[in-house]
Amino acid sequence: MIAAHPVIQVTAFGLSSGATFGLLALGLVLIYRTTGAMNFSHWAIGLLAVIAYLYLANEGVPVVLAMLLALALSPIAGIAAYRLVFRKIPRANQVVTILITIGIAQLYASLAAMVLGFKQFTRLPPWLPQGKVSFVGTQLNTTDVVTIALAVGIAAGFLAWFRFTRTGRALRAVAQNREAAMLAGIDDVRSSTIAWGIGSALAALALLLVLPHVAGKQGGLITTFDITPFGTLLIPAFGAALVGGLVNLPMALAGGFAFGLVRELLVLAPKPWSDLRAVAAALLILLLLVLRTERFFVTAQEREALEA
Amino acid sequence: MVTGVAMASWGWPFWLALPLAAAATIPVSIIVGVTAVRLKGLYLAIATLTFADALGETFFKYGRVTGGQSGWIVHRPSPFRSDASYYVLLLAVAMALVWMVTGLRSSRVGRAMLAVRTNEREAQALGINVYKTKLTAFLISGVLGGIGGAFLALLLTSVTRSAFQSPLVEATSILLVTVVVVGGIDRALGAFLGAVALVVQQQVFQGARFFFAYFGIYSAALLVLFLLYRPGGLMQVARLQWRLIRARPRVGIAAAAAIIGLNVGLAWLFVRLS
Repeated sequence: MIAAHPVIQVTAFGLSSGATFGLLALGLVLIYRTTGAMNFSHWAIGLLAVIAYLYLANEGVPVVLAMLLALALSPIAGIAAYRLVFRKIPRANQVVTILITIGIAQLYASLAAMVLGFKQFTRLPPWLPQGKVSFVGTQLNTTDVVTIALAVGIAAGFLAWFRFTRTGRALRAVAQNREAAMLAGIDDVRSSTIAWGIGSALAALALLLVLPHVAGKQGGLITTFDITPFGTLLIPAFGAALVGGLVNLPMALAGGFAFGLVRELLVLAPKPWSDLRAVAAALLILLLLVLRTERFFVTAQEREALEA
Repeated sequence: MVTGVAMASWGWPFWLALPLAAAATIPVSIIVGVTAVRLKGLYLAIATLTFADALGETFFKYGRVTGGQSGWIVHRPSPFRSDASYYVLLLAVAMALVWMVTGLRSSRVGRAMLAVRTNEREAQALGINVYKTKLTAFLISGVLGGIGGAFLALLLTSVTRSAFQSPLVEATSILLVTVVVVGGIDRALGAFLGAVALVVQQQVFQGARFFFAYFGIYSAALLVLFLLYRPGGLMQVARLQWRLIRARPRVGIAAAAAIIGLNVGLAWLFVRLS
């Protein structure tokens, strides 16, 4: 029964990892569009939430409360990074910005490693329902289904907020033309702060959704070595963001699902090919880069603003 | 990477495996270079990081060839078995390569590279093939990386995934960036200064319980602070300090002494406490 439809099962798993790539990509694109900084520390900001959740849950704090507190920590870390560091760099200096985000990633990841070093988490309370559900005669992991549903729901809510609310419109105005937005009375710093806060919360949510997958394999035991894979999640997230030319939010989300599917469906491929998943993803990203996908999504004016 | 495979699996001597390692980087450099030449800034950064991670992950997946996650053991060639003699060898090779790269700067190809860096369009107008020049730069740096990787493998004597870990995560690669930035990115001597500063600091933190976490936090903070306030690195700090000493000797010397004293004091305090 279980082996009857491996394709459906793998598709579900691909969509659920794709959902996390998509959420990461949404955060990356939001921050990049509004502030011009491509955030290489995105994963480390999300990691802080994961560590906070592990710590609190391990101390016996109710799972839901621990989740909410953890989700609140990442925006604080992201906004702190923006207010204390990124605001002080001239927007045009792309290389320095990237180097600094790498430094911030190192800083936050080291902090996380320190907390992990002080405390061994031996017991990881699952915050997503475990077990199986049946779908067209195939058993699926409940975790996967819940992950997909949660990610799609939250992404839809976020996109609607970005599209229809006053604050969302202000953020879009800043992305399109910062000077004109400022002349129209939009507070640039406030918009950037909001973008960093929401982007960081999305990163936290994405990594918290991945956590059960990482931890599930070893019966809930988490060590310093387990935080390494979180960093590599950023690469498919970049790929997903590139599908939307680093600027288009819905396409970035769709790109996330696409990358998740490609990655997991390749598992079914015959042996030499299934090992080349990382290379396939890298080639796909290179292709997207060479296509210069941003051409399809931005107006000439906005491109100038991004490249300036 | 390839050195390890050639030496461990095929039983090749090091002196044969080294050129192979250097040669093996050429096709990879071409693949990366052909795409990278078309990219700029942010896009280039994403491309290189992606490729570094993909190659690292894939190499160690082929368990039969590379020994999988546990990696493999390599041995240094006979006259350089001890750490001291290996150091002499490394120093000689590094000097030779620095000499060659310096020579490159004044060669025809090197001057074409400088012209391309300064102004791409002007270089093109002067008849320089921009595409070919950039690709050459990628090739040369790829070969240098291959040689560096081969010697790193012999230094560690075992080759594992973590030693060649993803640049996003692994402290070693970030450390390299930190060394260059903290020292001073626009001067050759700067990299040396930065390396000395960080190695000293590494020794200070060595005894700490969470060495990696402390050192990670410390070096990351250094990287960010230097980029924000002293983009010229320690070289710039030294220059500014020297200017102050020249202009107002008493204040300058007092400030220099205060900076050095504060650093030594903090290091001493940390060693005592841990």
